[in-house]
Amino acid sequence: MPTTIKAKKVKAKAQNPPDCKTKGVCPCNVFERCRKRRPYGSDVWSNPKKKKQALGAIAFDGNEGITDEGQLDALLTRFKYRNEAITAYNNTHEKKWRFNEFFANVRSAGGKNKNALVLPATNDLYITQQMNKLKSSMYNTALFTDFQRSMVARANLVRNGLTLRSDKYRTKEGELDFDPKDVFPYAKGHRAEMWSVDHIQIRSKGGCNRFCNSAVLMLVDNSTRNDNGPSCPCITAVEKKGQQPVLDDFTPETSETLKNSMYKLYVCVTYYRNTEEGEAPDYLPGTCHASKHCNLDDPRKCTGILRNPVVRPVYKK
Amino acid sequence: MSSFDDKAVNRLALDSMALWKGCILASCVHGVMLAEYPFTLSENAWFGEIYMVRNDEGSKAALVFSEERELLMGMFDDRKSPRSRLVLSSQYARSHYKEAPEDIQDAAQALSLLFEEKAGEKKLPFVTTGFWEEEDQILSRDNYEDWLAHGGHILTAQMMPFEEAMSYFKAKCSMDDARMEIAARIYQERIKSPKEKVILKKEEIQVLEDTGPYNIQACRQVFGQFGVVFEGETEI
Repeated sequence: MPTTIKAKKVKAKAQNPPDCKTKGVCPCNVFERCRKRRPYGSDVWSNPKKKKQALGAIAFDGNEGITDEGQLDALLTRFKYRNEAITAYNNTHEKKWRFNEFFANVRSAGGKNKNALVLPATNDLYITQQMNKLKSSMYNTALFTDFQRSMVARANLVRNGLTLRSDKYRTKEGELDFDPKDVFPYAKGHRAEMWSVDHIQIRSKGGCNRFCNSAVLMLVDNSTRNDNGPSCPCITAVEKKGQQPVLDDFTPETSETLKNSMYKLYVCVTYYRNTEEGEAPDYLPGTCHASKHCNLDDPRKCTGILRNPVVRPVYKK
Repeated sequence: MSSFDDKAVNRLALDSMALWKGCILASCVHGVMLAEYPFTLSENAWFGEIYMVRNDEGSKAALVFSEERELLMGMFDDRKSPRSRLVLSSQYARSHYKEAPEDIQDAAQALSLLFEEKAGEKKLPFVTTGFWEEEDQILSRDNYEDWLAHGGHILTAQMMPFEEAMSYFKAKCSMDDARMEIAARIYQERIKSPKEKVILKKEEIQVLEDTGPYNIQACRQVFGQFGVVFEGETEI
């Protein structure tokens, strides 16, 4: 398929989670987990008010037109420093400044400044068309399409008050944890601070390109994470302090509840590279069969979709 | 016997012209989709005869072509390669061209500025593989498989035949038929007359503008990088 790559050769080694007492094959039903995971942005896309904002035009620039790359670079740097300064202020003052002007509504900017880069307004019909196309080109180990990235960006922006912000990562091992940060939408050259859509379940280990396997990470963190992340679906729910993970909407960074919640990453099967011997399983545990499409992927229809059946995992015999 | 037969180098079976065409096609697709997806702005660029592509995983590649569209050099930074975690020095990029003539090594050193990233307090060139042209052959310290594994794969789409590449771009870039047609037309014109300006017609501009009315200036700049101008405008 056009957007797929082959999974790298790996040798599977089952590693049950610490709280799992079952011997043998990891009992975690990854597709049960997959069934429960929400597509990225479902908190925004399934909420009428937030959805309206996400469908609207969102400008990358507040008041100035962007006429050349040097100016763009300078602008981004300025925004970065300004946001850092306001963050520092907010950390030491009771009264908080809102500093989400990194992105501004096009109504106050784009009309006069035709050079500003803008996520154009879109609509439900168009998204449905794109979603249908996507279903026919959605496979494991594939890149996220530009349409998917725009959906992720829109949801992220609306969730974070029109600032693009990376998601919070927590692993059981604690080695690849990342805190939310402001990220740049684009920049001339390659900036470590740029955003990226990350495959939570690592792509080279069979991670699919469904919305429920996506999260926003700063590019440099994505590089750091590399192929060291989990091979099982992982963001399952927002975990609340003292409770088992429960199904809940992703919570905006600005919410008070964030202090007591986080995305939890689970690793129940780890693959070790073996370049000298052994073949990759035909289908890595935790991945859909290549000929079947996952129906769980429209973030606008999260509630209904959760009741639908999903494809069965295919394990190597 | 070639003078490089006794060197630790490998010949890469790369077709310069096909790769240049692939880069042009990727650029055409980028140009027509940019209005709708402006966050892709920095993912595809031309600086004169240097083509640069970045993917959304943070990896990038630069190809240097001659005016006759012959490949002169390639440099790659694959963030998924284990080599990206090697201890770097300011001279590290050059090491991938160790067997190349001195002038190519110097050129590689210069090109590596585009690959500099912050590494602690310093900015260092992250390069995971490379190749150069010598005696009409493309040479690398890596064999083809290693070159592909450590960065060559960034050019997967650019190395595809036209039909396959369009199919790839249709899915990856979420293209519709109208913009596929525009991309295909300007691509055909561009490769037919590489040194002539290609005109993007008013009705085509309108299609792009409809998909992202505020981003047309960025489209104009991106197209201008590889010789495509908007109808009614002579300057790029």
